Amino acid sequence: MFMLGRGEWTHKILHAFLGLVLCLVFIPSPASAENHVAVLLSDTEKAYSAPLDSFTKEVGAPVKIYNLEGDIHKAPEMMAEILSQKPALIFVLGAKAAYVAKIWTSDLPEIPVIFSMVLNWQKYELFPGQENIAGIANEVAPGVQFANTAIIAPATRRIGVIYSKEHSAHVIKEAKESAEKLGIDLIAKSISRPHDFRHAFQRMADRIDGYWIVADPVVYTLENISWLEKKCMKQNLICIGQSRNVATGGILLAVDIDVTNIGSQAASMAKNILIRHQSPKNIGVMPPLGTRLLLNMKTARKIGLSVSQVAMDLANEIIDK
Amino acid sequence: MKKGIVPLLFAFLVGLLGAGTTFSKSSLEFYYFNPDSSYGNLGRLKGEMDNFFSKAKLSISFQPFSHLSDLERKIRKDRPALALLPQWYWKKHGDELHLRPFLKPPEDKEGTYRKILLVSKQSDINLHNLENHSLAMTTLGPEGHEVLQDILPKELEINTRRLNIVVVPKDTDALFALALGHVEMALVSKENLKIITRLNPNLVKNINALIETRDIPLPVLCYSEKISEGKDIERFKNVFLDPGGKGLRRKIMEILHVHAW
Repeated sequence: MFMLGRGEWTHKILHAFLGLVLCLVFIPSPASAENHVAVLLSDTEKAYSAPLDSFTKEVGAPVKIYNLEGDIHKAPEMMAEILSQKPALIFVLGAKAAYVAKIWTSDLPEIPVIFSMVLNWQKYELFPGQENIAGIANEVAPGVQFANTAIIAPATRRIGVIYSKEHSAHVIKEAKESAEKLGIDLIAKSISRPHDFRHAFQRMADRIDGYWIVADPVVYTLENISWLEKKCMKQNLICIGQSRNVATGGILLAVDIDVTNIGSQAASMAKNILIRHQSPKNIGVMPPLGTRLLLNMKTARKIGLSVSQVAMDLANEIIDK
Repeated sequence: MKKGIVPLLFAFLVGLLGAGTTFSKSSLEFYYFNPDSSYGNLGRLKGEMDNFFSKAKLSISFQPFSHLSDLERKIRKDRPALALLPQWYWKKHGDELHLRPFLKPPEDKEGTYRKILLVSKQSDINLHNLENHSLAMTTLGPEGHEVLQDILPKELEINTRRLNIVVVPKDTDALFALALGHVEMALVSKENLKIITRLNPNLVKNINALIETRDIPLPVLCYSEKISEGKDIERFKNVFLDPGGKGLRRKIMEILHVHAW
Protein backbone atom coordinates (compact mmCIF):
# COMPACT_ATOMS: atom_id res chain seq x y z
CA MET A 1 0.00 0.00 0.00
CA PHE A 2 2.67 2.40 1.06
CA MET A 3 4.70 1.67 -2.05
CA LEU A 4 1.57 2.12 -4.20
CA GLY A 5 0.79 5.42 -2.46
CA ARG A 6 4.29 6.72 -3.09
CA GLY A 7 3.94 5.69 -6.72
CA GLU A 8 0.73 7.68 -7.01
CA TRP A 9 2.41 10.72 -5.52
CA THR A 10 5.36 10.30 -7.89
CA HIS A 11 2.92 10.05 -10.79
CA LYS A 12 1.10 13.21 -9.69
CA ILE A 13 4.35 15.15 -9.23
CA LEU A 14 5.54 14.00 -12.65
CA HIS A 15 2.27 15.16 -14.23
CA ALA A 16 2.52 18.53 -12.52
CA PHE A 17 6.11 18.89 -13.65
CA LEU A 18 5.24 18.00 -17.25
CA GLY A 19 2.34 20.42 -17.14
CA LEU A 20 4.65 23.17 -15.95
CA VAL A 21 7.16 22.38 -18.69
CA LEU A 22 4.42 22.43 -21.33
CA CYS A 23 3.19 25.77 -20.02
CA LEU A 24 6.68 27.19 -20.21
CA VAL A 25 7.08 25.92 -23.78
CA PHE A 26 3.75 27.07 -25.17
CA ILE A 27 3.14 30.31 -23.32
CA PRO A 28 5.30 32.90 -24.98
CA SER A 29 7.80 34.46 -22.66
CA PRO A 30 7.53 38.22 -22.26
CA ALA A 31 10.87 38.68 -24.03
CA SER A 32 9.91 36.80 -27.20
CA ALA A 33 6.43 38.31 -27.19
CA GLU A 34 7.91 41.79 -27.21
CA ASN A 35 10.47 41.12 -29.88
CA HIS A 36 8.87 39.31 -32.78
CA VAL A 37 7.13 40.88 -35.73
CA ALA A 38 4.02 39.27 -37.26
CA VAL A 39 3.56 39.31 -41.01
CA LEU A 40 0.02 38.83 -42.30
CA LEU A 41 -0.47 37.97 -45.97
CA SER A 42 -3.80 38.34 -47.74
CA ASP A 43 -3.08 35.43 -50.01
CA THR A 44 -0.37 33.26 -51.54
CA GLU A 45 0.49 35.86 -54.16
CA LYS A 46 3.74 35.52 -56.09
CA ALA A 47 4.08 39.31 -55.90
CA TYR A 48 4.40 39.13 -52.10
CA SER A 49 7.44 36.85 -52.04
CA ALA A 50 10.14 39.45 -52.84
CA PRO A 51 8.95 42.10 -50.33
CA LEU A 52 8.37 39.39 -47.73
CA ASP A 53 11.91 38.12 -48.23
CA SER A 54 13.55 41.55 -47.99
CA PHE A 55 11.43 42.51 -44.98
CA THR A 56 12.31 39.29 -43.14
CA LYS A 57 16.02 39.74 -43.81
CA GLU A 58 16.19 43.42 -42.93
CA VAL A 59 13.78 44.02 -40.06
CA GLY A 60 16.28 42.76 -37.49
CA ALA A 61 13.70 40.86 -35.38
CA PRO A 62 12.23 37.35 -35.44
CA VAL A 63 9.35 37.14 -37.91
CA LYS A 64 6.23 34.93 -37.72
CA ILE A 65 4.28 34.62 -40.95
CA TYR A 66 0.51 34.11 -41.18
CA ASN A 67 -1.53 33.72 -44.37
CA LEU A 68 -5.25 34.42 -44.73
CA GLU A 69 -5.16 32.52 -48.04
CA GLY A 70 -7.79 34.86 -49.43
CA ASP A 71 -10.33 33.69 -46.87
CA ILE A 72 -11.57 36.51 -44.66
CA HIS A 73 -13.41 33.93 -42.49
CA LYS A 74 -10.04 32.78 -41.20
CA ALA A 75 -9.44 36.22 -39.75
CA PRO A 76 -10.96 35.81 -36.25
CA GLU A 77 -9.00 32.66 -35.42
CA MET A 78 -5.80 33.89 -37.03
CA MET A 79 -5.90 37.35 -35.47
CA ALA A 80 -6.69 35.86 -32.07
CA GLU A 81 -3.56 33.74 -32.43
CA ILE A 82 -1.43 36.66 -33.67
CA LEU A 83 -2.57 38.95 -30.88
CA SER A 84 -2.17 36.30 -28.18
CA GLN A 85 1.52 36.24 -29.12
CA LYS A 86 1.73 40.00 -28.51
CA PRO A 87 3.74 40.95 -31.61
CA ALA A 88 5.80 44.13 -31.46
CA LEU A 89 4.40 45.12 -34.86
CA ILE A 90 2.28 43.67 -37.67
CA PHE A 91 3.38 44.04 -41.29
CA VAL A 92 0.58 43.30 -43.71
CA LEU A 93 0.64 42.63 -47.44
CA GLY A 94 -2.56 43.03 -49.43
CA ALA A 95 -5.94 44.70 -48.91
CA LYS A 96 -7.69 41.89 -46.98
CA ALA A 97 -4.84 41.59 -44.51
CA ALA A 98 -4.71 45.38 -44.08
CA TYR A 99 -8.42 45.60 -43.37
CA VAL A 100 -8.35 42.68 -40.93
CA ALA A 101 -5.33 44.12 -39.08
CA LYS A 102 -7.03 47.51 -38.81
CA ILE A 103 -10.23 46.05 -37.34
CA TRP A 104 -8.44 43.73 -34.90
CA THR A 105 -6.04 46.34 -33.59
CA SER A 106 -8.68 49.04 -33.14
CA ASP A 107 -8.59 48.44 -29.37
CA LEU A 108 -4.86 47.76 -29.29
CA PRO A 109 -3.15 51.05 -30.17
CA GLU A 110 0.10 49.73 -28.73
CA ILE A 111 0.50 47.34 -31.69
CA PRO A 112 1.67 49.27 -34.74
CA VAL A 113 0.58 48.10 -38.20
CA ILE A 114 2.38 48.79 -41.48
CA PHE A 115 0.40 47.96 -44.60
CA SER A 116 1.68 47.52 -48.15
CA MET A 117 0.61 46.20 -51.55
CA VAL A 118 -2.89 47.66 -51.18
CA LEU A 119 -4.26 49.09 -54.43
CA ASN A 120 -6.16 52.35 -53.82
CA TRP A 121 -5.57 52.20 -50.07
CA GLN A 122 -7.78 55.28 -49.62
CA LYS A 123 -10.96 53.33 -50.28
CA TYR A 124 -10.41 50.99 -47.30
CA GLU A 125 -10.57 53.81 -44.74
CA LEU A 126 -7.61 52.43 -42.85
CA PHE A 127 -6.95 55.52 -40.81
CA PRO A 128 -10.03 57.09 -39.26
CA GLY A 129 -10.04 56.59 -35.53
CA GLN A 130 -6.71 54.79 -35.40
CA GLU A 131 -3.22 56.11 -34.82
CA ASN A 132 -1.35 52.79 -34.91
CA ILE A 133 -1.36 52.48 -38.70
CA ALA A 134 1.27 53.51 -41.23
CA GLY A 135 1.68 52.24 -44.76
CA ILE A 136 3.32 52.24 -48.15
CA ALA A 137 1.13 53.22 -51.10
CA ASN A 138 1.05 50.97 -54.09
CA GLU A 139 1.42 53.74 -56.65
CA VAL A 140 4.62 55.58 -57.57
CA ALA A 141 4.28 59.23 -56.54
CA PRO A 142 3.47 61.50 -59.51
CA GLY A 143 6.44 63.72 -58.69
CA VAL A 144 8.83 60.79 -58.99
CA GLN A 145 7.47 60.13 -62.46
CA PHE A 146 8.07 63.76 -63.45
CA ALA A 147 11.57 63.75 -61.92
CA ASN A 148 12.51 60.69 -63.97
CA THR A 149 11.06 62.38 -67.05
CA ALA A 150 13.21 65.42 -66.27
CA ILE A 151 16.31 63.19 -66.44
CA ILE A 152 15.45 61.50 -69.72
CA ALA A 153 13.97 64.59 -71.43
CA PRO A 154 15.27 67.67 -69.56
CA ALA A 155 13.57 70.10 -71.94
CA THR A 156 10.11 68.96 -70.84
CA ARG A 157 8.26 71.94 -69.36
CA ARG A 158 4.55 71.31 -69.87
CA ILE A 159 3.03 67.93 -69.16
CA GLY A 160 -0.60 67.17 -69.93
CA VAL A 161 -2.87 64.75 -68.11
CA ILE A 162 -6.49 63.68 -68.57
CA TYR A 163 -8.34 62.26 -65.56
CA SER A 164 -11.71 61.78 -63.96
CA LYS A 165 -12.61 63.82 -60.87
CA GLU A 166 -14.36 60.78 -59.43
CA HIS A 167 -11.23 58.62 -59.32
CA SER A 168 -8.17 60.86 -59.48
CA ALA A 169 -8.86 64.30 -58.03
CA HIS A 170 -6.49 63.66 -55.08
CA VAL A 171 -3.72 62.35 -57.38
CA ILE A 172 -3.95 65.39 -59.61
CA LYS A 173 -3.75 67.73 -56.62
CA GLU A 174 -0.55 66.00 -55.46
CA ALA A 175 0.78 65.89 -59.03
CA LYS A 176 0.34 69.65 -59.49
CA GLU A 177 2.21 70.42 -56.27
CA SER A 178 5.06 68.07 -57.21
CA ALA A 179 5.31 69.36 -60.78
CA GLU A 180 5.64 72.89 -59.45
CA LYS A 181 8.55 71.85 -57.21
CA LEU A 182 10.35 70.56 -60.30
CA GLY A 183 9.62 73.59 -62.47
CA ILE A 184 7.09 71.70 -64.62
CA ASP A 185 3.68 73.03 -65.58
CA LEU A 186 0.95 70.35 -65.32
CA ILE A 187 -1.99 70.93 -67.62
CA ALA A 188 -4.87 68.80 -66.36
CA LYS A 189 -8.27 68.21 -67.95
CA SER A 190 -11.03 66.15 -66.37
CA ILE A 191 -13.45 63.95 -68.29
CA SER A 192 -16.30 61.77 -67.08
CA ARG A 193 -16.61 59.23 -69.92
CA PRO A 194 -13.87 57.18 -71.65
CA HIS A 195 -14.89 58.29 -75.13
CA ASP A 196 -14.27 61.95 -74.23
CA PHE A 197 -10.56 61.19 -74.00
CA ARG A 198 -9.56 61.79 -77.64
CA HIS A 199 -11.28 65.13 -77.84
CA ALA A 200 -9.72 66.28 -74.55
CA PHE A 201 -6.28 65.17 -75.71
CA GLN A 202 -6.54 66.94 -79.07
CA ARG A 203 -7.49 70.16 -77.32
CA MET A 204 -4.35 70.13 -75.20
CA ALA A 205 -1.86 68.49 -77.60
CA ASP A 206 -0.40 71.68 -79.06
CA ARG A 207 0.19 73.18 -75.59
CA ILE A 208 2.21 70.32 -74.09
CA ASP A 209 5.55 68.64 -74.72
CA GLY A 210 4.81 65.56 -72.64
CA TYR A 211 1.79 63.51 -71.62
CA TRP A 212 1.37 61.62 -68.34
CA ILE A 213 -0.89 58.55 -68.25
CA VAL A 214 -2.71 58.41 -64.94
CA ALA A 215 -4.08 55.05 -63.80
CA ASP A 216 -7.69 56.16 -63.89
CA PRO A 217 -10.38 53.65 -64.95
CA VAL A 218 -12.23 56.29 -66.97
CA VAL A 219 -9.12 57.14 -69.00
CA TYR A 220 -7.17 53.90 -68.93
CA THR A 221 -8.91 51.76 -71.52
CA LEU A 222 -7.13 49.63 -74.10
CA GLU A 223 -8.60 51.73 -76.92
CA ASN A 224 -7.48 55.02 -75.37
CA ILE A 225 -3.94 53.83 -74.58
CA SER A 226 -3.47 52.31 -78.01
CA TRP A 227 -4.74 55.51 -79.67
CA LEU A 228 -2.59 57.66 -77.39
CA GLU A 229 0.54 55.69 -78.21
CA LYS A 230 0.09 56.37 -81.93
CA LYS A 231 -0.86 59.99 -81.33
CA CYS A 232 2.21 60.69 -79.18
CA MET A 233 4.42 59.09 -81.78
CA LYS A 234 2.85 61.17 -84.57
CA GLN A 235 3.16 64.42 -82.64
CA ASN A 236 6.63 63.63 -81.25
CA LEU A 237 5.32 63.84 -77.70
CA ILE A 238 7.03 62.34 -74.68
CA CYS A 239 4.65 59.93 -73.02
CA ILE A 240 5.01 58.70 -69.43
CA GLY A 241 3.36 55.59 -67.97
CA GLN A 242 3.44 53.67 -64.72
CA SER A 243 4.10 50.05 -65.60
CA ARG A 244 6.55 47.95 -67.54
CA ASN A 245 3.73 46.87 -69.88
CA VAL A 246 3.14 50.36 -71.25
CA ALA A 247 6.87 50.84 -71.97
CA THR A 248 7.17 47.50 -73.75
CA GLY A 249 3.98 48.43 -75.62
CA GLY A 250 5.63 51.53 -77.10
CA ILE A 251 5.20 54.32 -74.53
CA LEU A 252 8.50 56.24 -74.15
CA LEU A 253 9.10 55.73 -70.45
CA ALA A 254 7.57 54.15 -67.40
CA VAL A 255 8.36 54.48 -63.72
CA ASP A 256 7.33 51.32 -61.93
CA ILE A 257 7.53 50.23 -58.29
CA ASP A 258 10.63 48.34 -57.19
CA VAL A 259 8.63 45.59 -55.48
CA THR A 260 11.54 44.10 -53.53
CA ASN A 261 12.22 47.49 -51.98
CA ILE A 262 8.68 47.57 -50.54
CA GLY A 263 9.95 45.04 -47.98
CA SER A 264 13.16 47.03 -47.33
CA GLN A 265 11.19 50.25 -46.90
CA ALA A 266 8.72 48.54 -44.55
CA ALA A 267 11.63 47.09 -42.55
CA SER A 268 13.12 50.60 -42.26
CA MET A 269 9.76 51.98 -41.11
CA ALA A 270 9.32 49.12 -38.60
CA LYS A 271 12.76 49.80 -37.10
CA ASN A 272 11.99 53.51 -36.90
CA ILE A 273 8.78 52.71 -34.99
CA LEU A 274 10.17 49.99 -32.72
CA ILE A 275 13.66 51.26 -31.99
CA ARG A 276 13.42 55.00 -32.45
CA HIS A 277 9.79 55.28 -31.32
CA GLN A 278 8.63 57.17 -34.39
CA SER A 279 4.84 57.28 -34.29
CA PRO A 280 2.97 55.46 -37.08
CA LYS A 281 0.61 58.42 -37.23
CA ASN A 282 3.52 60.75 -38.02
CA ILE A 283 4.79 58.42 -40.74
CA GLY A 284 1.35 58.09 -42.36
CA VAL A 285 1.36 56.63 -45.85
CA MET A 286 4.66 56.96 -47.67
CA PRO A 287 4.92 56.52 -51.42
CA PRO A 288 7.03 53.54 -52.48
CA LEU A 289 10.48 55.17 -52.58
CA GLY A 290 12.21 52.47 -54.63
CA THR A 291 11.42 52.72 -58.32
CA ARG A 292 12.44 51.23 -61.65
CA LEU A 293 12.88 53.45 -64.68
CA LEU A 294 12.15 51.80 -68.01
CA LEU A 295 13.00 53.54 -71.25
CA ASN A 296 11.86 52.57 -74.73
CA MET A 297 14.71 53.67 -77.01
CA LYS A 298 12.93 52.60 -80.16
CA THR A 299 10.19 55.12 -79.34
CA ALA A 300 12.80 57.73 -78.38
CA ARG A 301 14.33 57.47 -81.86
CA LYS A 302 10.94 57.58 -83.54
CA ILE A 303 9.96 60.82 -81.83
CA GLY A 304 13.43 62.29 -82.41
CA LEU A 305 14.38 62.43 -78.73
CA SER A 306 18.09 62.33 -78.11
CA VAL A 307 18.87 60.67 -74.76
CA SER A 308 22.37 61.08 -73.36
CA GLN A 309 24.35 57.97 -72.47
CA VAL A 310 24.56 59.10 -68.83
CA ALA A 311 20.76 59.35 -68.63
CA MET A 312 20.42 55.95 -70.31
CA ASP A 313 22.78 54.46 -67.74
CA LEU A 314 20.46 55.60 -64.96
CA ALA A 315 17.54 53.64 -66.43
CA ASN A 316 16.97 50.20 -64.96
CA GLU A 317 15.89 48.75 -68.26
CA ILE A 318 16.24 49.81 -71.87
CA ILE A 319 13.66 48.41 -74.27
CA ASP A 320 14.97 48.41 -77.81
CA LYS A 321 13.03 45.76 -79.69
CA MET B 1 37.95 3.60 -74.50
CA LYS B 2 35.50 5.35 -72.16
CA LYS B 3 37.92 5.02 -69.26
CA GLY B 4 40.56 6.87 -71.29
CA ILE B 5 38.31 9.85 -72.02
CA VAL B 6 38.03 11.12 -68.46
CA PRO B 7 41.75 11.62 -67.77
CA LEU B 8 42.16 13.09 -71.26
CA LEU B 9 39.34 15.56 -70.65
CA PHE B 10 40.76 16.39 -67.25
CA ALA B 11 44.21 16.97 -68.77
CA PHE B 12 42.63 19.16 -71.44
CA LEU B 13 40.87 21.30 -68.86
CA VAL B 14 43.98 21.56 -66.73
CA GLY B 15 45.89 22.56 -69.84
CA LEU B 16 43.42 25.28 -70.58
CA LEU B 17 43.68 26.51 -67.03
CA GLY B 18 47.43 26.48 -67.40
CA ALA B 19 47.13 28.70 -70.42
CA GLY B 20 45.10 31.05 -68.29
CA THR B 21 42.18 31.06 -70.61
CA THR B 22 39.36 28.80 -69.53
CA PHE B 23 37.81 27.82 -66.23
CA SER B 24 35.19 25.32 -65.24
CA LYS B 25 31.94 26.90 -66.39
CA SER B 26 29.58 25.41 -63.86
CA SER B 27 31.34 26.60 -60.72
CA LEU B 28 32.62 30.07 -61.52
CA GLU B 29 30.22 32.88 -60.86
CA PHE B 30 30.97 36.55 -60.37
CA TYR B 31 28.51 38.35 -58.08
CA TYR B 32 28.17 42.12 -58.24
CA PHE B 33 26.48 44.36 -55.70
CA ASN B 34 27.24 48.07 -55.82
CA PRO B 35 24.25 50.13 -54.67
CA ASP B 36 26.10 53.43 -54.95
CA SER B 37 26.89 53.00 -58.63
CA SER B 38 25.25 55.38 -61.08
CA TYR B 39 24.70 52.43 -63.38
CA GLY B 40 21.10 51.26 -63.01
CA ASN B 41 20.81 49.01 -66.03
CA LEU B 42 22.01 45.74 -64.56
CA GLY B 43 20.71 43.73 -67.52
CA ARG B 44 23.00 45.67 -69.83
CA LEU B 45 25.86 45.42 -67.34
CA LYS B 46 25.47 41.66 -67.29
CA GLY B 47 25.49 41.58 -71.11
CA GLU B 48 28.67 43.65 -71.28
CA MET B 49 30.45 41.65 -68.59
CA ASP B 50 29.48 38.28 -70.07
CA ASN B 51 30.68 39.55 -73.44
CA PHE B 52 33.93 40.73 -71.89
CA PHE B 53 34.58 37.36 -70.25
CA SER B 54 33.71 35.56 -73.43
CA LYS B 55 36.20 37.66 -75.43
CA ALA B 56 38.83 37.09 -72.74
CA LYS B 57 38.01 33.36 -73.01
CA LEU B 58 37.05 33.16 -69.37
CA SER B 59 34.10 30.95 -68.48
CA ILE B 60 32.71 33.23 -65.82
CA SER B 61 29.05 34.02 -65.42
CA PHE B 62 28.32 37.54 -64.19
CA GLN B 63 25.40 37.99 -61.80
CA PRO B 64 24.53 41.54 -60.71
CA PHE B 65 22.18 42.25 -57.77
CA SER B 66 20.22 45.40 -57.08
CA HIS B 67 18.96 44.34 -53.63
CA LEU B 68 20.82 43.23 -50.56
CA SER B 69 18.19 40.58 -49.75
CA ASP B 70 18.66 38.92 -53.16
CA LEU B 71 22.44 38.94 -52.77
CA GLU B 72 22.19 37.53 -49.24
CA ARG B 73 19.95 34.67 -50.35
CA LYS B 74 22.21 33.68 -53.26
CA ILE B 75 25.64 34.28 -51.79
CA ARG B 76 24.99 31.93 -48.87
CA LYS B 77 23.46 29.23 -51.05
CA ASP B 78 25.63 29.26 -54.18
CA ARG B 79 29.02 30.54 -53.14
CA PRO B 80 30.46 32.60 -56.02
CA ALA B 81 34.11 32.36 -57.08
CA LEU B 82 34.34 36.15 -57.37
CA ALA B 83 32.34 39.04 -56.00
CA LEU B 84 32.48 42.81 -56.18
CA LEU B 85 31.02 44.06 -52.92
CA PRO B 86 30.83 47.24 -50.86
CA GLN B 87 33.60 47.44 -48.27
CA TRP B 88 31.10 47.41 -45.39
CA TYR B 89 29.62 44.14 -46.62
CA TRP B 90 32.98 42.50 -47.12
CA LYS B 91 34.18 43.63 -43.68
CA LYS B 92 31.08 42.20 -42.01
CA HIS B 93 30.67 38.94 -43.93
CA GLY B 94 34.03 38.32 -45.62
CA ASP B 95 35.32 35.84 -43.03
CA GLU B 96 32.09 33.96 -42.62
CA LEU B 97 31.71 33.58 -46.42
CA HIS B 98 35.43 32.82 -46.89
CA LEU B 99 35.79 35.79 -49.22
CA ARG B 100 39.29 37.13 -49.51
CA PRO B 101 40.21 40.43 -51.16
CA PHE B 102 41.53 39.96 -54.64
CA LEU B 103 41.86 43.55 -55.77
CA LYS B 104 41.28 46.39 -53.35
CA PRO B 105 41.08 50.03 -54.30
CA PRO B 106 44.17 52.01 -53.34
CA GLU B 107 43.91 53.75 -50.00
CA ASP B 108 44.15 57.23 -51.43
CA LYS B 109 41.75 59.72 -52.97
CA GLU B 110 41.58 57.73 -56.20
CA GLY B 111 40.33 54.63 -54.40
CA THR B 112 37.60 56.33 -52.43
CA TYR B 113 34.37 58.26 -52.89
CA ARG B 114 32.27 60.52 -50.73
CA LYS B 115 28.61 60.96 -50.00
CA ILE B 116 26.78 64.19 -49.30
CA LEU B 117 24.07 64.76 -46.73
CA LEU B 118 21.33 66.86 -48.32
CA VAL B 119 18.34 68.74 -46.97
CA SER B 120 15.64 70.86 -48.52
CA LYS B 121 16.40 74.61 -48.77
CA GLN B 122 13.15 75.31 -46.91
CA SER B 123 14.10 72.99 -44.08
CA ASP B 124 15.32 74.18 -40.68
CA ILE B 125 17.50 71.08 -40.25
CA ASN B 126 21.13 71.88 -39.56
CA LEU B 127 24.20 70.00 -38.32
CA HIS B 128 23.05 70.36 -34.72
CA ASN B 129 19.53 68.99 -35.02
CA LEU B 130 19.80 66.04 -37.41
CA GLU B 131 18.39 63.50 -34.98
CA ASN B 132 14.82 62.20 -35.23
CA HIS B 133 14.53 63.24 -38.87
CA SER B 134 13.94 60.89 -41.81
CA LEU B 135 16.85 60.08 -44.07
CA ALA B 136 16.71 58.22 -47.40
CA MET B 137 19.86 56.40 -48.46
CA THR B 138 21.05 53.23 -50.17
CA THR B 139 21.61 50.25 -47.92
CA LEU B 140 24.56 50.03 -45.56
CA GLY B 141 23.32 46.67 -44.29
CA PRO B 142 21.10 45.78 -41.31
CA GLU B 143 23.55 47.54 -39.01
CA GLY B 144 23.57 50.59 -41.26
CA HIS B 145 23.61 52.99 -38.32
CA GLU B 146 27.02 51.78 -37.23
CA VAL B 147 28.46 52.07 -40.74
CA LEU B 148 26.92 55.50 -41.10
CA GLN B 149 28.42 56.56 -37.77
CA ASP B 150 31.83 55.50 -39.13
CA ILE B 151 31.60 57.42 -42.39
CA LEU B 152 30.22 60.66 -40.98
CA PRO B 153 32.84 63.19 -39.87
CA LYS B 154 33.92 62.60 -36.27
CA GLU B 155 33.40 66.24 -35.35
CA LEU B 156 29.72 65.83 -36.13
CA GLU B 157 28.33 64.89 -32.76
CA ILE B 158 25.40 62.79 -33.76
CA ASN B 159 23.98 59.47 -32.65
CA THR B 160 23.02 57.86 -35.96
CA ARG B 161 20.75 55.45 -34.07
CA ARG B 162 18.42 58.38 -33.67
CA LEU B 163 18.01 58.93 -37.40
CA ASN B 164 14.90 57.53 -39.08
CA ILE B 165 16.64 55.85 -41.98
CA VAL B 166 14.61 54.64 -44.95
CA VAL B 167 16.45 52.36 -47.35
CA VAL B 168 16.15 52.94 -51.11
CA PRO B 169 17.74 50.93 -53.94
CA LYS B 170 19.52 53.79 -55.69
CA ASP B 171 20.71 57.36 -55.14
CA THR B 172 18.20 58.89 -57.55
CA ASP B 173 15.36 57.45 -55.42
CA ALA B 174 16.83 59.13 -52.31
CA LEU B 175 17.35 62.41 -54.13
CA PHE B 176 13.84 62.49 -55.60
CA ALA B 177 12.30 61.54 -52.23
CA LEU B 178 14.01 64.60 -50.74
CA ALA B 179 13.22 66.94 -53.64
CA LEU B 180 9.53 66.00 -53.39
CA GLY B 181 9.31 66.19 -49.60
CA HIS B 182 8.80 62.45 -48.95
CA VAL B 183 11.79 62.47 -46.56
CA GLU B 184 13.66 65.24 -44.75
CA MET B 185 17.23 64.29 -45.67
CA ALA B 186 19.06 62.24 -48.29
CA LEU B 187 22.55 60.80 -48.38
CA VAL B 188 23.82 60.33 -51.93
CA SER B 189 27.20 59.92 -53.57
CA LYS B 190 28.89 63.12 -54.68
CA GLU B 191 29.38 61.62 -58.12
CA ASN B 192 25.70 60.77 -58.56
CA LEU B 193 24.63 64.20 -57.34
CA LYS B 194 26.95 65.72 -59.94
CA ILE B 195 25.43 63.55 -62.68
CA ILE B 196 21.83 64.51 -61.79
CA THR B 197 22.75 68.20 -61.49
CA ARG B 198 24.39 68.08 -64.92
CA LEU B 199 21.38 66.30 -66.47
CA ASN B 200 18.80 68.69 -65.04
CA PRO B 201 19.67 71.41 -62.48
CA ASN B 202 15.93 71.91 -61.81
CA LEU B 203 15.90 68.65 -59.87
CA VAL B 204 18.28 69.96 -57.23
CA LYS B 205 17.40 73.66 -57.21
CA ASN B 206 15.66 73.38 -53.82
CA ILE B 207 18.31 71.24 -52.18
CA ASN B 208 21.19 72.23 -49.90
CA ALA B 209 24.29 70.22 -49.08
CA LEU B 210 24.87 69.99 -45.32
CA ILE B 211 28.06 67.99 -45.00
CA GLU B 212 30.28 65.50 -46.81
CA THR B 213 31.12 62.09 -45.40
CA ARG B 214 34.69 60.98 -44.86
CA ASP B 215 36.37 59.03 -47.67
CA ILE B 216 34.55 55.74 -48.30
CA PRO B 217 36.62 53.00 -49.94
CA LEU B 218 35.40 51.84 -53.36
CA PRO B 219 33.95 48.31 -53.56
CA VAL B 220 36.35 45.43 -53.12
CA LEU B 221 36.75 42.56 -55.57
CA CYS B 222 36.96 39.32 -53.60
CA TYR B 223 37.40 35.65 -54.36
CA SER B 224 36.13 32.65 -52.50
CA GLU B 225 39.06 30.74 -51.06
CA LYS B 226 36.83 27.66 -50.93
CA ILE B 227 36.38 27.67 -54.70
CA SER B 228 39.35 29.34 -56.31
CA GLU B 229 42.84 28.03 -55.80
CA GLY B 230 45.63 30.53 -55.36
CA LYS B 231 47.05 30.05 -58.85
CA ASP B 232 43.63 30.72 -60.40
CA ILE B 233 43.53 34.03 -58.62
CA GLU B 234 46.80 35.05 -60.23
CA ARG B 235 45.31 34.27 -63.63
CA PHE B 236 42.18 36.28 -62.90
CA LYS B 237 44.41 39.08 -61.72
CA ASN B 238 46.35 38.97 -64.97
CA VAL B 239 43.18 39.51 -66.92
CA PHE B 240 41.96 42.24 -64.61
CA LEU B 241 45.28 44.05 -64.50
CA ASP B 242 45.94 43.48 -68.19
CA PRO B 243 49.71 43.28 -68.18
CA GLY B 244 49.68 42.61 -71.93
CA GLY B 245 48.24 46.06 -72.46
CA LYS B 246 45.22 44.90 -74.48
CA GLY B 247 43.03 47.53 -72.88
CA LEU B 248 41.17 44.84 -70.94
CA ARG B 249 41.77 46.49 -67.59
CA ARG B 250 40.52 49.84 -68.75
CA LYS B 251 37.55 48.16 -70.39
CA ILE B 252 36.48 46.14 -67.35
CA MET B 253 36.90 49.13 -65.05
CA GLU B 254 34.79 51.19 -67.42
CA ILE B 255 32.08 48.55 -67.48
CA LEU B 256 32.08 48.16 -63.70
CA HIS B 257 32.37 51.91 -63.13
CA VAL B 258 35.37 51.41 -60.87
CA HIS B 259 37.93 54.22 -60.95
CA ALA B 260 40.91 52.47 -59.44
CA TRP B 261 42.22 49.14 -58.17
